[in-house]
Amino acid sequence: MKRTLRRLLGPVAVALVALDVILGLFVTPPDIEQGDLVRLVYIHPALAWVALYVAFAMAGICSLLYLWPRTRSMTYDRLAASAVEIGVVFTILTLVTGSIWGRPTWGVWWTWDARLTSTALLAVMFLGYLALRRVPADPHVRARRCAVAALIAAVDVPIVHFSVIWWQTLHQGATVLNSNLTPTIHGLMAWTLLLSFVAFTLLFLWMVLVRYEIETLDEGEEDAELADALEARRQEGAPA
Amino acid sequence: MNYVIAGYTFTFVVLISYGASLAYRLRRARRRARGAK
Repeated sequence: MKRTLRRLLGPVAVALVALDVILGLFVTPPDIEQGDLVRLVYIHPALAWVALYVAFAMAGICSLLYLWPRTRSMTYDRLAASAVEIGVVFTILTLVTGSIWGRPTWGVWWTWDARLTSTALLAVMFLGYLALRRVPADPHVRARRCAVAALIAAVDVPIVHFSVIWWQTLHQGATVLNSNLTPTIHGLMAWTLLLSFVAFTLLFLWMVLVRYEIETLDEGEEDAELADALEARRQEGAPA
Repeated sequence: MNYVIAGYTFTFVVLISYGASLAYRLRRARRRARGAK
């Protein structure tokens, strides 16, 4: 079932991303103020959406479910690890595409603005999570440590979201999810923007399914190696 | 337009490279799992 879903999800996600690129680069009109630069809106916000609201939210929820004794399962640990790794890739893409957009519109590649700084901090914290996963430890000890680290890092997600409201920033406020819930763009541009969110979310889900299978297979191999090592010790006559 | 091309190129080079890395790691993990049985 999962394999069928993954086989279906992959081509659909890739096709939708390709359609988003075609519409974004060749079909949608240029903006009256930004000209062609507005075409970055069809990738940058969708990358940020996946990184912050899908990947890291998923990592936070899965970590919470792992720490909760009634729902504790290694499945949640593996899902959180998969979401974080892909989330870090998407966060780096968000920062770089934002920087490329910032240079011609703001005149600088980088500024210590609240939105940019909190997003960079989020990337660094989740890189720390990935480093923590590589520290050799019993799988359950590692899962507990990582779940706590993910929850601490996830505190930054609402800070990133509200940073443009709480502080004066160069970064613009929300265009679609603003306080009045009234999108300030319309027509083909709005539909292409919506498509980008759907396409990149499906791409993320596909990557999570693949990454999850890798994590499961690797853990099975670690267990087999441990069983072999214990068996070798027993045969040597040493207490295991 | 150069900035737009730079943004799209960087994004898709990274995504395709990461996708290829996932495919390689999945193949290797499956091969190892088959070998361990």
